[in-house]
Amino acid sequence: MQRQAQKFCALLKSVSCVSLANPGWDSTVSSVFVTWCQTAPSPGPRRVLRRAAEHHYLRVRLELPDGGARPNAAQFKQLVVTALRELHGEVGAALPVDVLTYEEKTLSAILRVISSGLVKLWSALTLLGFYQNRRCAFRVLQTSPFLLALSGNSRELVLD
Amino acid sequence: MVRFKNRYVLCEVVSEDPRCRQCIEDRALQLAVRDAITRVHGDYGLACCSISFTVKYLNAYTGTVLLRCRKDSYRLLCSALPFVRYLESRAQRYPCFLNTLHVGGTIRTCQKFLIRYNRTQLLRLLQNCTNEESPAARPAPWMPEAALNTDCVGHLHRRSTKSLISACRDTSVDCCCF
Repeated sequence: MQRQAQKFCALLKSVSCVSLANPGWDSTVSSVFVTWCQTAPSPGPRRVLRRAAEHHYLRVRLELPDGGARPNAAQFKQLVVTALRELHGEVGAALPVDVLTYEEKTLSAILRVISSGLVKLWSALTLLGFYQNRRCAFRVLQTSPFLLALSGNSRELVLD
Repeated sequence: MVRFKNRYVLCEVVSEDPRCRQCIEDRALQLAVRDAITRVHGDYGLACCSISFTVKYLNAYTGTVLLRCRKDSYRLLCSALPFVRYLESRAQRYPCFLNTLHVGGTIRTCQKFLIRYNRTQLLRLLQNCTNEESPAARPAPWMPEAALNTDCVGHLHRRSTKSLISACRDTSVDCCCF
């Protein structure tokens, strides 16, 4: 059981953004894992969900010409909503879109959108051409219905 | 058999201002509806709905409007109609709203509906009207509007004599009245 707990900790560390410098984290997680295994009910028949996931996640990068102010997180969200409003009107601008993470240095972000609005969002991002009278372009790097899938990207693998 | 299918949306222009009736023209209405679609559904919605969009029939006296659009985008059009708030023509702007009466696949079904609807409306208006002079009995267009408006209540305030006569004509003619 302890070995399984340690394996679980290692897996969590590799995919999550928890700071590795926290010493008590390992023991806490293993103890929680052990308690969960002991108190969880028996598995029962396998459950498979047939309907699609309710959210889709997009990793995007905004390309701007050098020089000039870079948008902060709020301005980035404003830009996304403006793009939706231009192409799809008020109905598009009311689409529930969230900016989960945003890095101002690389201008890359992870967006979350309700699954029925993925096509509208992607088309609006594609057709956005200007930010504050500067040419800009959205590059969609990854998209998936699962957030976990955005952590690994085989395109950025560097072969020795 | 593959053909382009259209949907015909029958609406009624309702306005508090009686001068709005002179504003009901096909160009003004087309601009107003396109404006509403752009605001609600953006460039994509405008392009979708404009493929086969025309104003097929207008009756300025009763305020009846028949719009045509493609079957794929009639929902975009219908959802944008409540956002038409005014009609503008010749630099005059009058507040109004569009009431959707019927959505049909052909002009003929819309006409059948309009005939039935006008008959029921006529009966309702004549019941409300307590004026002694029955307007249907005297179809003369010189009947003063004031005699009709003072005695009747509610809906009839916005209708003039001409609209009742026009509705009478619509219901009595059997073949296509367009």
